[in-house]
Amino acid sequence: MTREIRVKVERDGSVEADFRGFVGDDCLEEAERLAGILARFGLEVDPVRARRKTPAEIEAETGVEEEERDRVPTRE
Amino acid sequence: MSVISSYRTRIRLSPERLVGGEVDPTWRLMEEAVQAAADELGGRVTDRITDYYGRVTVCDFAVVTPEFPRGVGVRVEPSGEVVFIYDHYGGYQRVGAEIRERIAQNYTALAVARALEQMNYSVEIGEAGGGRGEARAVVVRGTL
Repeated sequence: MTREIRVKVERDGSVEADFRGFVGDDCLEEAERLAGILARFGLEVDPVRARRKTPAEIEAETGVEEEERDRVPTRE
Repeated sequence: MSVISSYRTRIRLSPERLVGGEVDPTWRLMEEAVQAAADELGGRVTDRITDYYGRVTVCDFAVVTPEFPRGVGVRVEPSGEVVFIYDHYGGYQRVGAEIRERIAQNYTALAVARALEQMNYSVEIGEAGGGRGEARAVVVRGTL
């Protein structure tokens, strides 16, 4: 599955990163890795907010219905 | 899980331009960002700016454009912090700010592109917006 990170850099220097095609917590790990490398390139990034994508958005990107995976019963 | 995250950014270069006899990557990036801003605005890169009275200030980098011949300078403080210096007296506030923002935006985009390349992503850089009354955004797309 193709993974994509789309980063929009606004005129005021703020950035919005859209992680596409990631499953589970992979995107959070990738975001941390990206932030670490950016620091080495002289760019410090402070998270302002993060929005979890809607199931419809995720399904459109990956074909995986994330809500369905969340419904798998777990042992008490 | 896939997310959309927003970040504030701050540029901080290596305090020293030369590290181990080579130009530090952060300084190289700033050089590229400054050159790109100059090209985009029909200007040129230099190492000095002037003020309203014609006094010269030497900087680490500077961009001079036809719209703002006094120029916008980039000075790197001993801490690595980047300071933009220019004299906007006489109606040059907007053009000065535009050059400053272009340099910072280009630096940020180039840093993101280099970082994604290091993570083995294939990288493309494009633009979004920039139409009438709309601020231009730079979009860096990395695919793996």
